[in-house]
Amino acid sequence: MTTADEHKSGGIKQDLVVYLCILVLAAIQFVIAYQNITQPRCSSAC
Amino acid sequence: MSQADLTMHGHPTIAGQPPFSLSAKKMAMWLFIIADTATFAGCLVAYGFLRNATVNWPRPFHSITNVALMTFILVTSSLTMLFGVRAAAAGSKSGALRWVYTTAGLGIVFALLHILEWLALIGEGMTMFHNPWGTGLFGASFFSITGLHLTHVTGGVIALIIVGIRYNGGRYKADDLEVLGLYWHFVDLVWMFVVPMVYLLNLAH
Repeated sequence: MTTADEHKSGGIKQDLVVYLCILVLAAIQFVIAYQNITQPRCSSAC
Repeated sequence: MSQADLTMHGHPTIAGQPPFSLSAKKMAMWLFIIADTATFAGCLVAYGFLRNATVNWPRPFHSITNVALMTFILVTSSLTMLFGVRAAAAGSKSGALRWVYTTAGLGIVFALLHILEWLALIGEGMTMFHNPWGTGLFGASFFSITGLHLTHVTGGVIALIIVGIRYNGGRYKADDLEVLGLYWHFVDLVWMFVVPMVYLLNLAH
């Protein structure tokens, strides 16, 4: 593999890592929101 | 030209060009993004004040499936746009066009899902100033913010198609795709703020 190919491959890997990190962060937001749907806020009666 | 002409205060420069220079198109896009950031920030801050100051603020969303799918599509479209810009920089015109048109396609799917969601809410009785769940201001703020974003996505899709066609014809170059990529990533970033504020904080308990 040439240096240019290595650089390109490394760039795509970095892009994919950033993409996955953004997806994970978004997923965490949705999971927290979903927990609020399924687990309504409880008072002392819960 | 001597070596001394290519350095200034010990930093290399190109004679005739100031350091840290940008192309006019890229500078214009950054200025537009800064101005647009202020627009969205103003809308979202105003929305936040309005929401917190209103007692019976509606929580009409019963599912996160649609908005999660829309988010996934938009984030993925940023990745495909990045691939397109990289392909163009590497000189692969066919690869760049493929990724740019994929991005435009994802943008169209996002817009269609958004319109379907709007129609569903309208079908439940929500208008700009009235809804069956609480204060009527919710409709105005929801349609304003998501409509502003949808307008940006629609404009971006049109720009992607036009720039793609002109890039294919040789009129535009890889730099132009990069400038459009800045805009598309900005639209994606804005959505990441719209989702928690407008959707996730208004899920029905």
